[in-house]
Parts: sequence; C-alpha cells; structure tokens
Amino acid sequence: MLKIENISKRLGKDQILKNVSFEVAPGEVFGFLGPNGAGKTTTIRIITGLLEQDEGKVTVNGHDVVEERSKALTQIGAIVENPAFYPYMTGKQNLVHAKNLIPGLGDVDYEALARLVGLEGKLSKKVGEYSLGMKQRLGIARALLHNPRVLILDEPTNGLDPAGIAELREYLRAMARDQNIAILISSHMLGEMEQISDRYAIIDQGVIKSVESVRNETGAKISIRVSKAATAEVIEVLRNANYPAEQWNDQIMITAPEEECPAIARLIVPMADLHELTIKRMTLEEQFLEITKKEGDSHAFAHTK
Amino acid sequence: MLSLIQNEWMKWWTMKKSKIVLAIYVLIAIGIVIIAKTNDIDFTRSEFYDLTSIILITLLGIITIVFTAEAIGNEVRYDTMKHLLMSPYSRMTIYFSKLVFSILLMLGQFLLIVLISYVLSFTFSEAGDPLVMRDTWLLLVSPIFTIFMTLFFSLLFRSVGMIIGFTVLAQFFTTIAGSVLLAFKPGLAKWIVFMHLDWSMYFDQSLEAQLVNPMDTTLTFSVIFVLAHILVLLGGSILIFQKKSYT
Repeated sequence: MLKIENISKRLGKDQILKNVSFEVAPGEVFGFLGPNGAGKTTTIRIITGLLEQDEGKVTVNGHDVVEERSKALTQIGAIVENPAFYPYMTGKQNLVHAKNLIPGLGDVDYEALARLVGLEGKLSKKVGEYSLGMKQRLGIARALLHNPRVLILDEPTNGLDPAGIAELREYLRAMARDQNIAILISSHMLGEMEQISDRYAIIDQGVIKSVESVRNETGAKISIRVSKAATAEVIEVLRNANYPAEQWNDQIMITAPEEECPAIARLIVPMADLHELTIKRMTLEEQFLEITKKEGDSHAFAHTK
Repeated sequence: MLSLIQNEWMKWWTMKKSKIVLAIYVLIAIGIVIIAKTNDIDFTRSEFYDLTSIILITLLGIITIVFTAEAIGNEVRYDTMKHLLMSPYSRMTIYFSKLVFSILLMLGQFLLIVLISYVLSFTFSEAGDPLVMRDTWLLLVSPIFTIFMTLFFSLLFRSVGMIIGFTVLAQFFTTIAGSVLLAFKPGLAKWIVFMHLDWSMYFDQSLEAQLVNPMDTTLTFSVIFVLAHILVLLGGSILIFQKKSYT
C-alpha cells in the first residue's frame, strides 16, 4: 500500500535521510520511531509531497508521489507535526475547507465524522476556542475526511489525555482492521507505540536501523528460578550444555530461542526444583534503546509512558 | 481551482475585518455626502463622484495590500500552508487560486466603490461637467499591479507585517524617487514602473503636461512596461513558490 524505496535527502550540507526503505501493508499499524532529529518528520514530509527526495521513490497504492502527485495524495490522509487550522473559522468550516482541497470529493457527513472522533456538537465552535486535544481530534477527522487508503499521523497522541489516547488507540486499530487502511504513526512515545503497532521501524541519524514486528523474538530470554542452593550448579550444567546462562538477582537468564524451553526444563528437573520458567521479551523501549545506542554516537532519547 | 477559490472566499468572508472594510467604504461615502450637505458645499454630481471614488480607491489600494498579504501570510502564520501543499493540487494551482481570488476580491470592492459613489452622486446637482467613468476604470491598473507585487513579497517574507511593510515602503520610496527624478532627470523617471500606473495621464491635458511630456513616454510604452513588470513578478513568484519549503 505505502512503499518507501531507498529515499535519500540532503538539506544544505546535512544528509538528513540515507536510503530509507520500508513498507506499510493494508490493515497494518506501522510505528515509525526515532529520537528527535532522526529524520521521522522529513520522511513524512516526503511521503506527503511537502518535500521532494533527492533519490528513491515513494508510492501509494502503486502511484508515485512525485510523478502522479494527484493520484497518490488523494489516497493519503495525514497530520504532519501539529494539526493546524484557521482559528477564526469553526471546526466545520475547517473541514469544509479540507474537503475543497480534495478534487471530486462528494458530500461529507460532517456530524458522523465528528461522532467518530468524539467532537459531537463541537463543530460549530471556532477552532480558536478548542483545546489541544480537540484540535488533535479535528486533525484526525480532517485526515479521514476522504476515506484515505493510507493514514499518516505524526505524534497523534500529543495533547490527548490518557482516556483520549486509549480511545484513539482502539479507534485506529479498529480502522486498520475493519477498513483495511495502512496506518503509519510516527512517535517517540514507545509505550503507546508498543500497544498500537503491528510492526515498527527505528530510524536514527537518517538511517533505518531496524524494521521489526512488535512481538518479535529479537532479544528474547528464558528466565528460570530454582532454589538458591542449586543456582550455581544449574548455571554450570546449562553452560556445559552450551546455553549462555547468567545469574540475575534470584533468577537465571538464558539467551536462547523460545523452542529451547522444554530441553532446558528437562536438564534442570532431575537436579533441582524448578520454581519458575518464563520467556522474557524485550520491551519496545529496550529494543529502541539497544538499537539507537548500539553505535555509541546516537543522541537517542526515548520518552516512555 | 474553483473549489480553491471558494476556500479563499470562505477564509476572507469569515474574518470580521472583511465586513468592517465594506462598511467603511459605505460610511466614508455617506460621510462625504453629510459633510457636503451640512456645510453647504456645492458639489456637482461629477465632482462628488470624482472625489469620493478617488478617496475610496486610494483606500482600496491599502486594503488590497493587506488582504493580498494575508492570502499567503496567514497560511504561514497559522501553519496551514502545509495542508494546502499536501493536497493533490499542484503548487502552481494553489498560487493561481490565491492570485485570481485577490484580483476578484479587489474588483468586487472596486465595483462596490463605483456603485456607492455613483448612487450617492444623485443627491447632488447635475450641473457642471458630465460624469466620466473612463478615468475610474484606468485607476484599476495600480491595485492590479499591487496584487502581483504583494504576492511576490509574500513569498519572500514570513510575517504579514513584513509583507505589508515592504510593499508599502517599496511603493512609497520608489514613487518619491520617481517624483524627484521627474523634477531633475525626467528621462530617467520613465524607467520607474510606479510612474506608469496612472494611465489617466494620457487622457488629461494637465497631467500630460506634468508627466507624459517630461518623461517622453506613450500609453503603449506604459502598457508594455507595466505588463513586463507583472510578468517578472509572476515568474519570480512561481519560481519561488515551486521551490519554497514551509517548515
């Protein structure tokens, strides 16, 4: 649905993006993560036609954003950076303005749209009187106005309260699932992204460092707990069986795939009481920090909730 | 493009100042009638029409700078330019929608001014010179040129204040320079575009003596010279707008 192929962008002397590639499939919520200044917004600006890449290609449903601008952008709904509106116009007038920007778009049920984003009865108010959260909701309503096939949201939870964030999360997931929309969300709110995304890409210093499934096995560890007296002996047995085992507080951590659990249990049970055996996956935050700090020169700074 | 012009209209009409400006035109015209009547000023129809239309069209020149500056300046101010540029319409279409709307808006106000001045002129005597509309239409050249110039400055500066300031200053100082040159080096004054925006100088004998003859210019030269400047401003604006990044 949305395909980014080897895009590079230089602004002045700075190489902002280097060979950035990833795809977002229909029905998928794709997280686009990175520290501030990593190139997230530049990538989004290229996808939405605000900026032209030096190299590479962005296609939406097969249409090149540069070559077939109108066809490509008609299928994109987006909030880039902050949702911006004309403050002296009402919410509805702002939506009518957005509708007029889409050639050939028929009638729009503005009230239904307002219900969808929780702005029932608020569209007649001037946007200058809206809270930041209401503006975010109106921004999402505007992005959805023309039933886009690809939705791009840059930091969409900014200004939303916890209940609003949870509501938006459920709404976006349902929309991706029910309407088969490809959703790209850029954020540095890793806790949120972990709950909402199916897959994610981490960008740092203009380079895609990793594209993973949120529930991936990268960095997964098997954690076991045996009696204190048997811990040292168990570690030795595991190491002799080529399992890299280390003691961590009262637990033994083994870096091994999930499939090794039965074999590990069989090794331990004859010699010690096995109190606990669990699989510990890295959180998105841990994965993010590991990837962005791997090279030691990143300015990564992750916000979590 | 029509839907983009509709958007421009909606943005303009929703602002309070749009209605205030229209009311000001009417109030000034009525004010002139009241002042004339209460002070027994013996205007003829054509005298009243000429005075009122010139005052209001001079005001229109300033108002046109403000509204044209806001057409692009407000998009930057409210950060809404990115939404226009993210739309499927090309940058060229977006620029032309703003240009066409600015011209239509100015023409609408111009017609309102002509209408008010004409209707209110019936409150005065028919005696004296007949009312001539030709010079009124010739006054359109200046606000049209101002629109192209203001849109050009709108792409160079980000703040509405700067756009208005530079447009007014450019007009003010260049006109002063033109007047000084006219007095001392009239041959050079004809190379200043602002000296060619009042085409009524070719139809009025006193203006012909003051301006046309010393500058040694013709209506054809003025038309070509002004059009050439408009084309340069238009070309420059399109080039800048195509490349400009609104971050």
